Amino acid sequence: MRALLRFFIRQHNIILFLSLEFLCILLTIRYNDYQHNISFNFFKEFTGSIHQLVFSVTKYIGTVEENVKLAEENAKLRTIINQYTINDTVRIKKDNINDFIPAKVVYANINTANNYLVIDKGSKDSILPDMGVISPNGVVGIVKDVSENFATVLPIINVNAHVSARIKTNDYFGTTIWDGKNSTQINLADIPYHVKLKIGDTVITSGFSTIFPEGIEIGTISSFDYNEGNDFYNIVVKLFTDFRKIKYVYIVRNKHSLEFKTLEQRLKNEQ
Amino acid sequence: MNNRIENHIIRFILLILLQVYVINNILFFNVVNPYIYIYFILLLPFQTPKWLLTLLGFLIGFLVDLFTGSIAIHAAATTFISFLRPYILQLFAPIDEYQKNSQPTLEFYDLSWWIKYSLSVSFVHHSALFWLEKFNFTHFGFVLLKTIVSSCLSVFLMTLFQLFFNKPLNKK
Repeated sequence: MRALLRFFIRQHNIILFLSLEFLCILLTIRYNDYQHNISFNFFKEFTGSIHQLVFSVTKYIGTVEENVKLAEENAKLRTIINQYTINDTVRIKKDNINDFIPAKVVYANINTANNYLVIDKGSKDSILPDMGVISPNGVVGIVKDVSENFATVLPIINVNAHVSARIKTNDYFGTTIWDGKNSTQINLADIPYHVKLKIGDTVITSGFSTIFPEGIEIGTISSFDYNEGNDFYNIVVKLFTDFRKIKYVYIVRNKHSLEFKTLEQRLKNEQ
Repeated sequence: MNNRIENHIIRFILLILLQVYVINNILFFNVVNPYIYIYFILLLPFQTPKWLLTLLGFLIGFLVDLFTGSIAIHAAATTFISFLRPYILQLFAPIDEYQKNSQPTLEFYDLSWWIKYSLSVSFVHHSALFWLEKFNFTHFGFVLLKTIVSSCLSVFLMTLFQLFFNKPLNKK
């Protein structure tokens, strides 16, 4: 207490000066409209920018949850959309054959010939081998192996992965092949060379299996040619899916898949 | 000129009246606005206690504010310079320090000392005043120019007062 008192006595001039200046500034702001407005606006700006700062930090809280929610909602909407397909202007409601299960890519190896992805859904989420995997941009690949919580996916850019594909404009179908070189493009085989092709034509899934629903986009034709004495084109398809950025995918679950397979199996056994 | 209290009181009143009714009504090119009432603070005796100096600075500024309706803008500036005055005096102190019984006038110290002393005080005062008037830093160059020209004119006028009312050193 005495030290405080001594401090006040020793510094009386500075304290007097500071309190007088404080008083002057207060009076200046209080009694002069111009200064009043400027300081009022300044403090408004100041508190406003603090509000903004706090918001810019807090708005990211819960983003992960939000993403999961949005992915689930997207999956639901895709299921609904899939019930309706446009067929020559007549809208037909199909059976609800396909479910879309959202998943996150937790690991992606795309720089070798044997590329694969790992997703965070497994047998617990009723994922089975040979289910199709798509992204919002297009086809990703096929489920290869399933553990309890994870599944491996063979992407279409794997030399062992083949997907039945069709050219959207003329309905000719073929099979995708990857040459193991460029992860942004694949080849489309088995298109006979009498077919008229255009660069930029869209390639979609054919729907000839239960893996992918019909009409999921794969990519666009970026170049084509054919060798003399060969009946088929060499077509290069530029992929819509960017495997270097892939993050959220959907697994296609076809409710008739088992039925389809048994039938197919029966046919093979008879032969 | 002696150093009696009456003289300071009379100077105090006259300077406020001169500032408010004469100087403030003369517009020098719309830019220059000298403030000569700080002459009172400049001339206060060396021995004035610091707290009294600060208080008197506030008082004269506040009275000018009351007359001109700019409550507390002048008071802020004058409080500031009267607080700084001892430090400015120390800065320009002669080698043998200020003599006892001397006053901060041309009677006791030479012209270059007076100019340095009054110009620093005016510059600080005018800067504080003009910035408080503008209250933002958008017209930095303009306000700086106004400060420099106005303080030069203030110093010129206050030097004239000195030459009229105080016997300069070289005539002694």
